[in-house]
Amino acid sequence: MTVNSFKFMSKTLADSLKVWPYVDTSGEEIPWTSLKKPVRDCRIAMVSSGGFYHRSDIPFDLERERREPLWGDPSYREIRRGITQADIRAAHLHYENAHAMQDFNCMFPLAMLEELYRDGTIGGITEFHLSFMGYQPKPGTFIREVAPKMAERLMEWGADLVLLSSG
Amino acid sequence: MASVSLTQMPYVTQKIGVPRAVAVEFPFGMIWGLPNDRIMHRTILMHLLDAAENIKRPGTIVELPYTWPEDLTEKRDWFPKEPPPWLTSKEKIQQMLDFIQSGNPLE
Repeated sequence: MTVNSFKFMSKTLADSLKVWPYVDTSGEEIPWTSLKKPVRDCRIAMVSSGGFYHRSDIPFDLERERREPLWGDPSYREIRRGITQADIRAAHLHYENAHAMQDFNCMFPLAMLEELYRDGTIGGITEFHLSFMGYQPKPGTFIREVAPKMAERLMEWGADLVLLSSG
Repeated sequence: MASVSLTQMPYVTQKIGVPRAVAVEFPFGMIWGLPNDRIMHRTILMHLLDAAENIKRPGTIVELPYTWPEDLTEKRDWFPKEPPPWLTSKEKIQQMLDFIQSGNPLE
């Protein structure tokens, strides 16, 4: 691997991530669902771990994380298609949110996805997208309860293809 | 429902194992490029769509060649102004180190 984003981190964080107790998936087969149709016919949804929410929705719980730093809010938020810069917020203590508050497309490029729909590159866009707060040092609840619910919602909205973005 | 992931950390993505991934060496908080860089946002989106159609082997990670401008790298403006809670006291750092050494991520 030549992509090395460790260079953007503090040494403490980079060293930690190199020995981090990741969930061990070594004995598991990598999941696979084939794409059923060409991208130009696919309805697409986006999911961001950037901690985004609509300003009228409940923010991710950062106060509890400040009290219990090994805890990260495992919930998710639904973001309606067409959300504007004025309405979107981010709650995430592990990256600088200011850039996304200037233009959220640098983390969650929903405006560009709309452009690809208008020019016929993709076949459709789901009515909602999803976001969660990606700092999950102990992701048990997220894996067991939250992610399956998110997948269920994406299927209800008829997503053929989901673009997942970290932050 | 098929999926493609965009990652800055292919090292981690590879450990965990995802169906299809695209990796880019951009800083945290700007994984799709600089704010308002519509050309880069579109370019990366097109790479993800291409990966969705063309990756045939589970676990494939496509690395993109784009680099972050050096003068901006020096600015290091992606660090949050408020440090993450686990780094705010010696006791909290120790809690994290103990977890890293012997914690169960699925507890």
